[in-house]
Amino acid sequence: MAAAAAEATIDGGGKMIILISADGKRFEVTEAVASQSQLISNMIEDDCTENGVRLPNVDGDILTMVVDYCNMHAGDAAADGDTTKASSTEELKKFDAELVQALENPVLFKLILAANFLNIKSLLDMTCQRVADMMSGKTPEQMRETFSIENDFTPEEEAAIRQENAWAFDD
Amino acid sequence: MTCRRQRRRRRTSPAAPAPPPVPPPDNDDLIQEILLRLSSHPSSLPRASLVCKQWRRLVSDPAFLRRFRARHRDPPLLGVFKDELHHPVFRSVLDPPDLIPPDRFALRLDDYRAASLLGCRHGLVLIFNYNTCEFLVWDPVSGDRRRVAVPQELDGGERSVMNGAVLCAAGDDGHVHGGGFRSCHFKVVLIGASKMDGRIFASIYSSVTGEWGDAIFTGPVSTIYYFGSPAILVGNSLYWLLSVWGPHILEFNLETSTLAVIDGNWPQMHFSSDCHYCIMRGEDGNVGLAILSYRGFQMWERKVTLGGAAKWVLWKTVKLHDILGLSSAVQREKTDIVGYSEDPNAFILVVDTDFYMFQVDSMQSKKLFDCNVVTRCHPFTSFYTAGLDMEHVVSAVTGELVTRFISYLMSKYSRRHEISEEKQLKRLQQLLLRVSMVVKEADGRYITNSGMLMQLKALADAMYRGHHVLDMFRCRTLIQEDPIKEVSNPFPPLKRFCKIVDASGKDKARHLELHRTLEILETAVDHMAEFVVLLGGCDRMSRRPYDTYLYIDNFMFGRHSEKQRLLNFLLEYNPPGVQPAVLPIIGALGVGKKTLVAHVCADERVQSQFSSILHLNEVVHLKLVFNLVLICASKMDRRIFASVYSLVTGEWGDAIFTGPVSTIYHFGSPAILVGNALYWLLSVSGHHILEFNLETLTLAVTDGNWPETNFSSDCRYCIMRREDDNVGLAILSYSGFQMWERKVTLGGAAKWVLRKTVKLHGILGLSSAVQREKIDIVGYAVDLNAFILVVDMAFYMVQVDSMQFKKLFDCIVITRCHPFTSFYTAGSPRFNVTLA
Repeated sequence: MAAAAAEATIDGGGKMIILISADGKRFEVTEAVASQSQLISNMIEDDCTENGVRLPNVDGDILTMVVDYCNMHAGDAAADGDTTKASSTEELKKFDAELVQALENPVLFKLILAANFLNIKSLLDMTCQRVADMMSGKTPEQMRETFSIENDFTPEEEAAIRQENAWAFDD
Repeated sequence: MTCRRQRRRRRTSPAAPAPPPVPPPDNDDLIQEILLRLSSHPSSLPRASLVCKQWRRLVSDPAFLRRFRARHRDPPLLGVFKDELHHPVFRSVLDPPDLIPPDRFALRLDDYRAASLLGCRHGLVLIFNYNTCEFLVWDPVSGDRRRVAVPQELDGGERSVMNGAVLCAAGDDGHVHGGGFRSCHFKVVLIGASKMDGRIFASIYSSVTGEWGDAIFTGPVSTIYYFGSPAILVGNSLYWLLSVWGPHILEFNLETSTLAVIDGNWPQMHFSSDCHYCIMRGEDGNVGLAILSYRGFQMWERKVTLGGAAKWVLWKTVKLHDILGLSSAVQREKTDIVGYSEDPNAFILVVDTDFYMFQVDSMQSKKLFDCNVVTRCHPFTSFYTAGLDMEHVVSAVTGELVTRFISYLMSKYSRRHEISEEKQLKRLQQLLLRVSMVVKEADGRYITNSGMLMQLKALADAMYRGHHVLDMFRCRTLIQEDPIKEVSNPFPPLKRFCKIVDASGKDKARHLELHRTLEILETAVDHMAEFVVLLGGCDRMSRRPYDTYLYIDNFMFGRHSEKQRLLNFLLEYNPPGVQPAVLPIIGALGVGKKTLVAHVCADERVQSQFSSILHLNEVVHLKLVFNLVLICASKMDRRIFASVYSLVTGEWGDAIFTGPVSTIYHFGSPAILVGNALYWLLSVSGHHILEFNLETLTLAVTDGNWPETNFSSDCRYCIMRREDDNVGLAILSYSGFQMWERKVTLGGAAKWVLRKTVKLHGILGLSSAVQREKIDIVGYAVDLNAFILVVDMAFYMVQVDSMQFKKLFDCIVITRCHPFTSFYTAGSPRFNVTLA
């Protein structure tokens, strides 16, 4: 079945590739969509995608989001100067903004890990930026709280660091 | 330890359904990716570094900081450095928590009081110290600073430094500024004037080689007034706005290393003296000119055609009250451009006492702060990465320490060991001979360099000290030969003895003193070499035509060290309530005791300190009065205050305030003393006079009621002394002088009365072809009631009472002149009174 799917073609052209998530969910995408991931792109070049690509680090629900994202963005790399695509850039931006706004940790962090593992630059950039934005305007205490990070400074160390740039911690 | 354990725990967690919130993935690379995307606001990184040890380590990584700067490319505008009384004072333009307080970027250097802030670029601040003739390049964020001495061939003799600019040595391609001098080399571009041949020159210092390049000259230029703006960098060229009787632009091309004055072909419209000018970055790497009038901005761009011809094209017109969101009732005198930054393309404007930033590209404006001291602002952009990579700060500091230590060692003579007293005395005599030779020569020359004056003062001090020690030893030998039992003291109850006599008993102390003096003199002689060379470039005083008020008859020869002693005694601090000190002067008949006292009493410092000097049976009673008046501006409540320093108490008096005043621009003139009051001309968006009455201790700004006629901005103003101790105002226009007097009626009302009208070419004996832009008042002497005028490049002195004039000298560098009157008693130490 996997072999049949891999050989199937859709009207847009290109081979289909099966992605298999850690919990066994299967996703069928075109080569153009999948090759946005540098990892898969390399595998395609090496011709080792016939039996589907197992992604043991990525959950099914996360992979759903990644595939959605890749489907939306499949066009922009291929057809750059295309006039018909120009109108959809707005749409794309809107999609990205909505996707990223909706994300909260832990899903956000899982998506970062997935983007990192699959090596999808634009998705990694977008998600990291989202985390950085979540940190803006927050005090160190609030950041620790948001991301549940343990404070491993001794009180003396913390005071010394605070002293260096005391003004930066005013609210 | 805890950190590692925690990380291990986290590493196991991502697959497990952890309850939110969840820590970010424990992967240094990913966390760095996130932290890289933090905003470039100054508080971002310090805050992130306090979250946990792992984050602090990541954020402190120099490679990360480089990537952080590279990712954001354009450093944020952190604030402005205001040039307040030669001190760069930082004012943030951001809101908390990004508001960096002024003391974070405070320059803690005591010897930079005669320094001038030349500009900021690429996160570096450039300061020039006129005393020591060196540049200081300062990276406020990393704290790195480096002194760059200007070699003698670039400053000294006929050449002097006028301005400069600092920039990062690396080109713009891919390089990111910041991170201290270890990762960022810099260049300093010096602009100087060569007085001999009337040319401007440039020279480049590179921190890579540590050397100055050859001087690059312009063709001969007309008189250089001053630099109207700090440098701006557009494309590959630095530009300065020169004020050479009308603005010109100086262009230094860094690529081709060419220097040229671009003039002529100015935009024709609205080029009146009501406007304020600033050069700016136009489009496509062209230099632009912003003209601010009360209506708004006009921005012009200088386009160079393929043929090489240049023309000015109007680029933008902006209504001021539109951009600033102000009511249209902005008075035209009350706006000014006080700063400009080419990157971002933004102006710092001041309206009334409010500072605004106006960004040209986005056409947005922001109110920055309120400050009633309006001085030039130098916008400062940089990434705030301080306190994060500490190690290189330490290495930079030690680097500077090492170089200074080496130069210290080199300048030092090899230490002398114990040498017999006799030999030391001989050495002292030799040194004294050398020093006094130089001091006498220097006294006969016209020294304009303030650094040289300070060195001369130090030399003279060392010389007096040496003479004194020599006298002490001579005196001791005399005493030993012919011992005097008791110092004749006419006032037994007063225990104070003069050290001259008192020292005779203490051999050891004297020996120490000899040793110390020798050391001081040797250091002075060590440092004398360049002084002597520079001295050769100074003109002889005797050639000056205006030195006629020196009283040659009043010269006193010899006895300088005694005179210095007496002066020190008289000027010494005397606590109130304690009985006054008495200094006996003992000597043989006719040796010149009275002459000595008379000369000391004639000294200006003594006269200024004592209200009256009474000669009673040859004992001089002295009463101490005040000697310093400090005028300051209080920024908080917009008032000016004065404080009087009194030598009687050794303390500053209470601050005496004016009422609230509007914007304080700057002092348009030095103080003049008329009757019992000191007057300053203030430039408070229009002219006002500040009056400080020394008798009643009142401070007031007298304004309004100005003489009505011809009060246009084409004229030059100067306050002056009129008859009956009234304050006067001289208005110099191209046609001549108008002198007004401020009469106060018995009722207390004041009005201005026209006293004199003088045709300028009449008094100066000039042809009538004096162009109106080419005259200015550069100085005024109260005692002589004389103006120093400059016409073209010639300096004239015009005495108001006699209506006589005299041509003084020619000088291409036109700065304010402070006439100096004193009796010339040779060998008397020079002194400077500095008003803080």
